[in-house]
Amino acid sequence: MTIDRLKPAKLRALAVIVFAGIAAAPLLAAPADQIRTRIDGYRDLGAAFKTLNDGLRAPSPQPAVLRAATQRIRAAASHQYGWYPAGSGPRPGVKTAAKPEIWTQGPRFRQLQDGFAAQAGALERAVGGGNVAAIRTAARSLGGSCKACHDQFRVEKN
Amino acid sequence: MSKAEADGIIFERQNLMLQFDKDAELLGEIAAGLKPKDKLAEVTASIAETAAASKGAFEPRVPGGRAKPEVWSNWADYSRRLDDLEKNTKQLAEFGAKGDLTSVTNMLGGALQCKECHDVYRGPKKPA
Repeated sequence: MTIDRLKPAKLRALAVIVFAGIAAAPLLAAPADQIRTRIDGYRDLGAAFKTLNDGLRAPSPQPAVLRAATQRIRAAASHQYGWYPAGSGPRPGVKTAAKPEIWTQGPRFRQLQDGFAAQAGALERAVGGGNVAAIRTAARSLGGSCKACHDQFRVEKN
Repeated sequence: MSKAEADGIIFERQNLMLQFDKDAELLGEIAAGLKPKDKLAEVTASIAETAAASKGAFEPRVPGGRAKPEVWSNWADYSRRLDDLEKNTKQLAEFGAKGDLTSVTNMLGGALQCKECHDVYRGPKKPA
């Protein structure tokens, strides 16, 4: 059957199906994009945390380096709340270290996200204060908040 | 020391070991000719930096992660191994900075005694 021979009602139905398919395409692609955004966000966070720790190991830590790294960490602490939309969890054919418990134990996960955000704020205040020992303590506590979440909600790497 | 700070020390060790793992994998691929050697200097420098940071990360007597208690009960041996790692990887980075892949490759087994140390001081992976 050719399109010419379709009745108007069938043609309309076909148009609805075609347009619905076009509209749905970005939605179907979305989970992969969301996971990509999450991975990129954590890579940047990890790089910033490494910069911070490397900076703190230097004989004379440079305030500008510590400040810049802390700003990236603070940004990640804000953005993390948008990194776990429904549907972006593990499933066949999708590579992610996020455990399904993130979505089944939402309140606990949110509590740990808040803990991380609080430690990032404490780090920022310590960096503002300029005392290297206090910054080191704050950086370690921040790392502790990362570990608390990884232990429960991230697939172990090694 | 707060629990968060103690966890942060363990987290730092874990990150250092993951960095070793990542860099050693890339260096192995460069040595095997699977990857071009344009990152030789960068990766050997990174290995040396990680090695230099390792002893400080294990100095606090904070058990946890996969580190066995023997790390601290045999501290003289463990810290000697970390000192050797630091010294050897510094040499590795010097060869890497010159682009001397042959010398880097010749040093690999002796400089990165990862398994030898893990066999004694690293516990098994925790069940998921």
